[in-house]
Formats: sequence, C-alpha cells, structure tokens
Amino acid sequence: MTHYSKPLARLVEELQKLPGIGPKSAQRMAFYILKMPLNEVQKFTDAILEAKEKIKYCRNCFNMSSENPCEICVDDKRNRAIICIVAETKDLIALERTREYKGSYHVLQGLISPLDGITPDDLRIKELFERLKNEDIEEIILALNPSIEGEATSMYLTKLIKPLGVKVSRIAFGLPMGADLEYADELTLARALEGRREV
Amino acid sequence: MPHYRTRAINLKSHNLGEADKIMVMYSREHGIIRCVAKGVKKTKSSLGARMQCLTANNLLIAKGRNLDIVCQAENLECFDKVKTDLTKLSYSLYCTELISHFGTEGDSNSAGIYDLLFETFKNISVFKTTEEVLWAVLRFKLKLAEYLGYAVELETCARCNKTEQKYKTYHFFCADTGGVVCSECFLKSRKTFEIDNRHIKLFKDALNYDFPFESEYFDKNLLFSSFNILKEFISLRSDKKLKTPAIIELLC
Ligand SMILES: [Zn+2]
Ligand SMILES: [Zn+2]
Repeated sequence: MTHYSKPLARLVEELQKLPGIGPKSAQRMAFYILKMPLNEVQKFTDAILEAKEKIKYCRNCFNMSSENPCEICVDDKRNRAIICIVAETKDLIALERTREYKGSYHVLQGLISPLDGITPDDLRIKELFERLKNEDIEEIILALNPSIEGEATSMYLTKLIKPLGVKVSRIAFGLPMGADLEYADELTLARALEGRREV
Repeated sequence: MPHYRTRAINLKSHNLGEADKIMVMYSREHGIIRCVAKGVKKTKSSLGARMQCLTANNLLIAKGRNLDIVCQAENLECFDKVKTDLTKLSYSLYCTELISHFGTEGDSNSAGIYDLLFETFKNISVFKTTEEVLWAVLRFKLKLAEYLGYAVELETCARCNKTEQKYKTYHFFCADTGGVVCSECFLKSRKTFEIDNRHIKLFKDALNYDFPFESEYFDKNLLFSSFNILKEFISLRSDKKLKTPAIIELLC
C-alpha cells in the first residue's frame, strides 16, 4: 500500500470492504473512479448515501424498502394469510420475479448457522411468532436454501410452528429447468424423486 | 497441472466471488485441505450438491498456485438422514467443529480420523434414538482424543498415577488433567465432575463398541453427564471457544 498516495490508499481500502473484492479489483475500481468525470462520481456517491438513508427494514416483514411497512405488506391484493419465509431480501426479489406468488413474506435476515455461532435469537424469528400470534395465518411456506443452514432453520421453524396448527410447507428441490436427467447428480435426483407429486 | 486423488468430508465452506466457494475438508490422505470449488453456487453445477457440508466425496484435485482446485467429485456418502433431523444435525455439526479445530494439514493420523468421522456420521444417520446418537458422539470424542495424543485416563489416577486406595472405584473425573482422579488428588484438582463406575464402564465400552449394546446405556442422565464431562475435557484443549455446544442446548 505504500506506493499509493494517501487518498488513493484510503479509497482502495474502502473498496476492499465490499464482498468478493480483493486488492487487485479494488485497485482497478479506484483507478476507474479517478478517471470518471466529477459529476458522475457525485451521482455515484449520492446514490449510495440516498439508498443508505432511505432504505429501511419493514417493521412487519423485515424486507428492505423505502416504505415502512413495505409495498408488499400494504398491498391489499396480496393474501396475508400466507407467509413465505426467506433468508434475505435478495431471495424475496428472486421469488417476486416469478410473478407466481401472491402472499406475504417474512425475511429472517440470515439462517441458523451452528458453526458460525448464529442462533435463532440472532434472526427475526421472535417477530415471526408475533405475527403468527396477532395475524390470521393459515400457511407458512419455507423458501430457504437447501444448505445445512437452510435445513437447520427449516427444521427448527417447523418444530415450533406445527404445534400452532398452521400448515407448513417447503418449496420443492429438484432438477433445474433445461437440465438433463442423465447428467443430474445423485443427491439432486434423490431429492427430486422424494418431492415428486401426483399428476 | 499436477493432480492428486483423495477421499474427503466437507466441513465448512466460504463464499468466493459470485459463484465459487472455498471448501474446508478433512481428507483421509492429507488431513485438513482447503480447495476452491468453481461455479458451485449456480443451480446447474453438478458439483454443487456434492460440495454441501457433511458430505463425503472421492475427489480429483488440481494443484494450484495458491489454492488447489476441485476438478471432479464422486459422491461416497451424503449422510442424508443426518441432515433431516435437528438433533442428529446439531450433534454432527459439533463433531465437525471439533475436527476443524483439532485437525491439521498433513495430520499423521489422518486416515484414522477420517474413518472415525465417516463412521460417526454413518452411525448417527442410521441410529433411531437420542441415546444412540449420544453414544456415537461420546465414542467420537474419546477416540478423537486418542488420535490427538491425549487419551482419557481411566485406570489410574491422572494426577498421582496411583490406584484409588479408599474406595472400590473412582468418584471424580478431572477435565483439566484428563482422567479419573483419586479421592486425595480430588482436593487439589480443578474442573472436576462427580462420577461413578457406570461412567468409567461407559467410557471404556464406547471406545470399543460403536453401539450401546446394554440396556443400562439407554439412560439419558448417564449419557448427558458423560457428554458434558467430555465436552469440558475437549473444550479445555481447544484454543478457540467452541460455538456448537451452545446451539445444541438451544436446538435439541
Ligand atoms: Zn413488509
Ligand atoms: Zn491421585
């Protein structure tokens, strides 16, 4: 870092804090920014600051939004008796892109991860149970990754929600569209077989 | 690029860029290894499912300049039953954490430790009761301690090396010294637990048998107290605080 002048070193250092950005990429980005016209850089920093100031977590579902409650929570056309549980806002966005789902959401803001010491108390699980208590919820859909952390969280939530008499389902895992059965790995295939449905 | 083959169990992974992961694995041939698995976060990656934690694979790895790269993975065992039960999963992750803390690159006992972890996951997946799962974890801890060079002392006092004079059996286990202590040394010992001959018999049998073959072993109090004694014994030998024991208490 000693070959950089101080302000440049600071910029490189800050950029490196972004996920997936190493020293090489940070340096490339820093030089690019320095070559940009000043008003472009201004627009860039404004966008960061504005997003940071205006985007908050919805107090109901913990989705990231500039409205509180968020657009989804106030939308009367959506079915509030169904909650789809996701780990992060980015998963919610992915599900919204399908245009298939018309219920509400609850964003946990993470997954239970024993090896990282992330416990149920670190997630928005308490708030989920508040909703189950106060709202008329008929069904919970678990849309969590098929990873160890996703499995642990799904099992934990199922164990707690089932006794409340609420229907709990989990999204199916199986073959991606356009995949070839012959080349599918045995784990995915086993899951797809397990999650088969009558036609 | 030179290649090598090894059998390994996935312990942990870290995200690397958009679609790659750095895998931390315990291999039968080389102990702890760290490799890059490319593209595994994409839904179409066939490597994806095989790179899930608590999965054993036969790997073909290319030597890289910094990190080695997983070229091929042939699944040996995915321990599916472990992943679909919260109790089994929590205890298995505890074993995983112990291996990642105590395992090293190029362990001289890597084959034994790998086989032990594989056997433990296999047993936990077929076992039906919490008692059996606890037995598997106790056996795992006792055998791992042996491989790491601090086998639990069960015959003579771990402090003075003499046999108990006053009583027929030992009544204390010292997690600090790592074994049973006599009634005289007990007064000078720290981190002690009250035990009786059932604990000693259980520890000895768990080292020899992978199944709780006697009905007296299906005693939750005995198993939980044994688990806690060994948990303390192992935690005292770890330089970092273990994270999974707290989760076990919350989830199980
Ligand atoms: Zn909302
Ligand atoms: Zn003694």
